[in-house]
Amino acid sequence: MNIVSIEHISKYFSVNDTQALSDMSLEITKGEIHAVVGENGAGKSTLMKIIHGVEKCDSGNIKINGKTGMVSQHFRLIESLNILENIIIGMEPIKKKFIVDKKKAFEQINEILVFYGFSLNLNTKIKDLSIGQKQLVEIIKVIYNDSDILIFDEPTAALSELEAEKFRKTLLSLKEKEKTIIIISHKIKDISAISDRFTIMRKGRYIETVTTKSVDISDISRHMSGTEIVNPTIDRSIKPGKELFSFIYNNEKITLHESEIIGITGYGDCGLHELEDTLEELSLNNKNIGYVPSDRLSRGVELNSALKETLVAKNPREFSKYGLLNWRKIDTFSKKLITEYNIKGTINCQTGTLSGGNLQKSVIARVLYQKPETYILCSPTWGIDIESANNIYHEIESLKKQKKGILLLSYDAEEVIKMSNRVYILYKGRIISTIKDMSVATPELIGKYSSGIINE
Amino acid sequence: MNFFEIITPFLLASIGGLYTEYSGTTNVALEGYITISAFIFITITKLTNSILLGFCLTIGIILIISFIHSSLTIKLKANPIITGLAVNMGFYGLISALSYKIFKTKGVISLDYPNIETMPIKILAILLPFITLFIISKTRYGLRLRVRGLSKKSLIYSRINADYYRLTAMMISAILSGLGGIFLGMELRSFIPNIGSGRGWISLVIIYLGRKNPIGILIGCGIFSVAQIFSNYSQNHNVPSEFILALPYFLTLIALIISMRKKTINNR
Amino acid sequence: MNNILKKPALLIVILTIVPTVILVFILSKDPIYSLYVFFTGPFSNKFNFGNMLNRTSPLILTSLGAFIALKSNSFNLGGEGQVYLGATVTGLILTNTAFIPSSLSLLLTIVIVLLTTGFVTFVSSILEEKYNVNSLISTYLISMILIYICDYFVTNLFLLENSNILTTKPIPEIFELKSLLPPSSLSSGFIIAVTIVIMFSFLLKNTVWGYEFTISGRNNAFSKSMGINNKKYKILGLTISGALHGLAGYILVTGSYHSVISGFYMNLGWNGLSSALVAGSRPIMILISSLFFSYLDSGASSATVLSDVTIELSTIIKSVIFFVISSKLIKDSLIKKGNKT
Repeated sequence: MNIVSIEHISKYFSVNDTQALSDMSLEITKGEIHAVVGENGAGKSTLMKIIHGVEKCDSGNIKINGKTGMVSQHFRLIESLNILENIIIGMEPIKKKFIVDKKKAFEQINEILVFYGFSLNLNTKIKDLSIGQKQLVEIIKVIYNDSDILIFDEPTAALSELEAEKFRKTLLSLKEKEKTIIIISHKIKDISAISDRFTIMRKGRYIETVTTKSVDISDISRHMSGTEIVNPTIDRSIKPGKELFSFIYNNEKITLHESEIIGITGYGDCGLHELEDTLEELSLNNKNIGYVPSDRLSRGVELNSALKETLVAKNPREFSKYGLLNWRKIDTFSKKLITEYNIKGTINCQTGTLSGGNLQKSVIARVLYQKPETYILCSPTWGIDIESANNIYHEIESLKKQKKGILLLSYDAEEVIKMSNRVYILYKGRIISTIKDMSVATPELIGKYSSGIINE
Repeated sequence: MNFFEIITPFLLASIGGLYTEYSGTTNVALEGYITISAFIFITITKLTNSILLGFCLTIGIILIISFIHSSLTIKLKANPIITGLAVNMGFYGLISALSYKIFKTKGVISLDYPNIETMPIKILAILLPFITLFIISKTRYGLRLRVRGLSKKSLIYSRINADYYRLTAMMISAILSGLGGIFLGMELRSFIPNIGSGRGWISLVIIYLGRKNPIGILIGCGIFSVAQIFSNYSQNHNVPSEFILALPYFLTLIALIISMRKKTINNR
Repeated sequence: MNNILKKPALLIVILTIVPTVILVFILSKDPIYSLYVFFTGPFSNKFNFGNMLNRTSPLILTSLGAFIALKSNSFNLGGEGQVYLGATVTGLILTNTAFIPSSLSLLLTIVIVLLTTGFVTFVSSILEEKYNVNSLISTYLISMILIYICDYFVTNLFLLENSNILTTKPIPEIFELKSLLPPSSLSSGFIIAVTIVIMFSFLLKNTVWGYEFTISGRNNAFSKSMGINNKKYKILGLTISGALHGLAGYILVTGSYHSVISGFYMNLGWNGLSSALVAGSRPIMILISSLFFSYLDSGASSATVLSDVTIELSTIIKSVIFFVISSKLIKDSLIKKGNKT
């Protein structure tokens, strides 16, 4: 029996002029775990929002036989309120007509906790929770709302491997309790380990629905991206050259050499952000450091300015004489960058109307033009489709061949292992471990350090 | 004017403004609502000779105006600060134009009433911080209102009409500051063009001084009222009137600097 | 509705005309005649037209002042007090420095006006940087204090006796800005104001300073990451804003009233702010929006003289425009799209 059936729906966003969904169809059976996969910008999140009813479609039919609850990619929890308050928003038990019955809410939530075997102190403020616990709160929230259909948008993206494993177990137990689950994920493990079927989307369209058991893992990734994923593993035979740049982090000196890539990783609040801020400061006063920020939407580009204004932001003085800007020079320069790096946009368009991948290309183009010796790349492929990510990996590879030094700050353990000569792992604001022999490095090992299970 | 007469309009306007703060925005039109309510109240009372009618119709008209003001702001996705300023400006023009049209004057409009009982409003004003504290911490409306201010998306994903909470909060602030205006009109038994004399603006500052907490605001209002009495006192001692008129703004600024400075140090 | 939203200029014009017509029908006994006077009054003769342009001169400067503050991501809500301060300083120096050469006292006046009004907003921006006091509030509060202090000077210390208005004695004739279109009051202040706008327009668009100033105001995180000194530009923006308001006060005295009159700054600050918001992102648009605003004012004052409506008509209309222009829906319709060439 289909609990969700979607037929030929379309959705157009006038704000950024994109056709998010066109002629999309999807059928979900009651009680299954159904994964939805596809590149960034394939329209998965929009589809989920339409199923949940927070977004309306332009045309097509939707039939949903049950109550939906959605856990979106960025948590909707309110940091300054406690767990209980966050869970009951929208479904507050009421006494005397308008007073919130916290006692009753407490009992109801505890029932759920016992039923599923979770443990949480309901009076804790959200800001004091780990990412995994926040996720759990989101899950309890949708269960508390009596939802039959639970929708998860990239639930494991921010979780550590251990937490993700726990999360997958939770989903299986939810399935046992006859909930229907729709999950968006980029992680192959999420799909192979728990899903019954998965549907592939590309550019807002339905491609196919596959029964998970009928294919093996490598097939899944092929199905996901449409093309075979190239895994550019860096050529480690190039020996690092002379010293380029060094900095001290919590009493530990980190030195970067020519033709060397140093990876720095960790989970959640491990201190990676603070480190990025420090490194950004260093890059300001040093023309030889090129910095690609992780928060590219606010630090990397200026969304309300013309693309050409964004592209020359680091060095406007190069295009000026006596303080006067030479716009013709700027135009020529910007056109050159756009063609060279295949940025899809015009020099006069508003930067904010570019897609995520193109925004990152603009940032990297500007940094590469600076021709620094040292590169600080922070989560360079985060939230970018596979093709663009691969281009970035190739770019890093060629930089290494040109004797440049690269500092790669990333939460993505796999990416760090693939690229780096050496990996530093942060835990609670300090370096907990250094992996120098890359042959032993696995995401599992890094995961254990990152979550503090192995303590050096 | 004694302490309770001074503190009442401050309390009404600042607690009213607090609701909009909880909903995540600032209502800068408090001053305008004080003034126009006083004008409407005096006008209707004068024309109908009934205080009750004047009171009820004023509340009704303010409800309608604030509904239009806030729903347009929300629907047009306009900047609430700017629309608030626009409302202040529009009220000023409207009052002058109507006052001239109806009474052939842009100045003082007086009522011929001996005395108007304002005790209920004073009592309400004093109780208001406590009522608000209860609403915010215990009721569903209060919880959702706070959530609206902290994260609009959170409400949308729980499929709650987020705009409803901002709309009602704006209307509550308009009605309460309007009540402050009516109170001033009742006390003076007349309308004078600058009847608000900055009370709406000072109330905004009191909200910040009181750290957006009803009891903090009660204390802030108390301090301001004492300052006001002090400045009224010095008025009888040959200090130029301009300086006395400037004093509340000056004290506000000083209080703001001191309170923000403390906060900055605490945050370090 | 959607089609109208795509044409913001049209929307603003509609929103002006509709309430005007409604209001005039409510307020006037002969609405058709009042409307006729309202819309054609400013163009009816050289006198009215010149007066309208002259009314625009200080408004252009206050709009530019508000515009610069907005560009640096601050709100200057103290325009009224700053204009009054500039005007009072101008009047007091020019009427009390007969003992030094006139060119010297003229120079002295302009320098002191710029310094004092610039300092006032500089203080606000420092309060924001150092003490975290929102400049939106502090500019307003300081302005209110200034208004009363200036009032004290104008209506007490330097009051011209035996006059039926509250005014200081007139400035010496030599300091009056040249009349351009007699018998109207249009003075060379108009040319000064227009020149300053063109100058700022050029500076913002074509210099590294202007580029960094703009980027810094638009996005702090980005400009910081690009090595731009945000603090400097933010303080500078508010300071320049104050100085321009002071200059508006100077032109108000030397170009229009030739003395300091209590309350004559009325609405220049607020109108400047709304005109700056109407102008949007291009400084040159300030000229057009300021002209539009003083056209409304002039129309209203013509209508006041010749028919039975009051001058506040224009205030009400302006508030409606003010309301609508801040709409994000309208702004979004002006964005240049990336994938369209």
